[in-house]
Amino acid sequence: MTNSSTAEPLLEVRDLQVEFRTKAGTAQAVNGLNVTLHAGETLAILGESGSGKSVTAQAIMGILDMPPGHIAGGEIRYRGEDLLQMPDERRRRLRGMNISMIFQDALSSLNPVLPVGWQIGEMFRVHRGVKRREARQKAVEMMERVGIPAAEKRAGDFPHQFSGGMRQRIMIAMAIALDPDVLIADEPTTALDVTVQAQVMRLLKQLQEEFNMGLILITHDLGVVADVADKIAVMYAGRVMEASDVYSIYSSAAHPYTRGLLASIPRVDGADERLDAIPGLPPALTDMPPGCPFSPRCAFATDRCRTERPELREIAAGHTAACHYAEDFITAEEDQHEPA
Amino acid sequence: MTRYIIRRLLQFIPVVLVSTLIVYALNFLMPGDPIRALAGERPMSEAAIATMREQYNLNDPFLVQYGKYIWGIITAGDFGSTFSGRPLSDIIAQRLPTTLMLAAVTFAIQAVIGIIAGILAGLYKDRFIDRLVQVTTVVMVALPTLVIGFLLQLIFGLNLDWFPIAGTRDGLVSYILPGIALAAVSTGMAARMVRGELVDALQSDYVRTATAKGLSRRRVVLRHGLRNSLIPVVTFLGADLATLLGGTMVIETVFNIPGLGAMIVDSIKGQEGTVVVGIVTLFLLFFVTVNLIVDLLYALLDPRIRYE
Repeated sequence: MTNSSTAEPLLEVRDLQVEFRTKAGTAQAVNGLNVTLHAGETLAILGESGSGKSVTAQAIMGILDMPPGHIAGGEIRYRGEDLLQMPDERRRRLRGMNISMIFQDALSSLNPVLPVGWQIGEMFRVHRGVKRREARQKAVEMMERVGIPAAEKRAGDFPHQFSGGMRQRIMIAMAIALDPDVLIADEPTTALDVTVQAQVMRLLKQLQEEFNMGLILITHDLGVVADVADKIAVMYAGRVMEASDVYSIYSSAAHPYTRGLLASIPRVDGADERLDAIPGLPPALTDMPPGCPFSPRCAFATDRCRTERPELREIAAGHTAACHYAEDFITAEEDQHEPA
Repeated sequence: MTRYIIRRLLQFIPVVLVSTLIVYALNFLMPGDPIRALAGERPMSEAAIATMREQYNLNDPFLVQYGKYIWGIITAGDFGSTFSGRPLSDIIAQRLPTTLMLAAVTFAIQAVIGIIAGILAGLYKDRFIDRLVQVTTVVMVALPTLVIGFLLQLIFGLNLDWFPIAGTRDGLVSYILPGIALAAVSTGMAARMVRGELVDALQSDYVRTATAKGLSRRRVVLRHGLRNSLIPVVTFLGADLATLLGGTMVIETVFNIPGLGAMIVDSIKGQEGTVVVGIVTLFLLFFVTVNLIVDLLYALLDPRIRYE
């Protein structure tokens, strides 16, 4: 992470609102989201399923299913230019070339009936106008780069002939083929074995440093985040609940939701302790509570929380939280750590 | 792969034996005496009848009759002849091109109209064109082939006078109405199938990936969406090409087309077992061969399928 506060951000999402119009009503999937990403920086967007993190990724990428999806407001600025105002054709060219994405399930995300080399080579053919033979050669180079053994021989194989980890490497090779500035990884390791997860994350991190990419890592796994992320935004019910650098989240989480998430990580040193799960379920996006969306599940909720929605506000330098009592939680934590 | 093909080809033998036996038996069980039926109202001497019965092995028990029939095919390539003495191979040589022509026209209609209608409906899901295809195809699938044949004759033959209603004298044009009638059900099914497959494919993860790669909408739909959704349709149409021959029995009769289908119907009426069994066996061989080709084609189109 370099002087991120002064340099022009690569990607800046301002007050993003995404709705889904269904028969059951309008669901506010993303509700006033703000995030910033600089070159070489890794931003983790953390949240449960349904928190709006994948929808955010799809909105940035411009691959939201519309309808039923609908971007109701906000801006997504890439190098200062609003992607939402851009003509479709120009935006299409940015996809894959400047901003690209990898998905959770590589098996279903790769075309089952086309050879993997062809699928990677398609990036060069479509965006760079490279001829078939040369595209294949470049595809093999990309496969070698992401650590696929015998790449030359395997380029003609189909996705189902690879293991889960190798398939995700192929997805990565395809996404970084054209040297993009921004890479969005939507739960890239969730479908993989734990040992393979670590390898794939290491590869992503290494490629990010090599290409100086901005990486948005979408995940529900706090364990993954700690190793690779520079900044974290914790999402809940379509909003950012807390955002800061990765260190502050672990050392002084201010929001009860973030604290709940941290408490629910299994610890190696406490095998016989019960895990603290957060009780209850996220609210239905079509029927949001009037106050803080987390208030129905929050052990510390007051009447104020149930009626007045807390705005995301700065509670320390570079640390924001959407909780009326954020400062109290941090102070309480510091008291605990003071020597008796 | 070669071993798979050889194994499949060897399976042809029992299939052909069992099914010819069944058709032969059905024919044997039909009430009435074929020679007397041949004579009709005219008087026929008992001696002549006895000679003919002997000539066509009609006095033998069923299994002996069948055995002699199969033996004749294997040893002499003799598929038998009609009661009027015409060899079956002659009849097939004369009538096969007509039936193949009808099958070709029918298949072209199924493939072209079915696939195009399905693609349009799938691309414009829930819009007017989709609704139109959905309603039309339900009607096409629901109406019996016979009724569609009569309706086409009435509307486009008699009332509008655009197409001939019977015979094959006008060449290709004569095959259009019977072709449409015969194609209707499968065209409807193919269109619905293409639509369903395309809608699924366009919502699939790999099409989302294709979009995320920055490909044009056109390329996403054609290279990634359609390519996959057509695989099951190819197999459906292939298998259907084989069953289509059964339909020629109805349509050739309705449109008075001198093909093999009509010949089967006539021969059943005349209790000419040899002819029925011969043509049905031919249809059968066509059916199993086409099915084999379809299975091989499937493996070619979908790399996830492999035979050994």
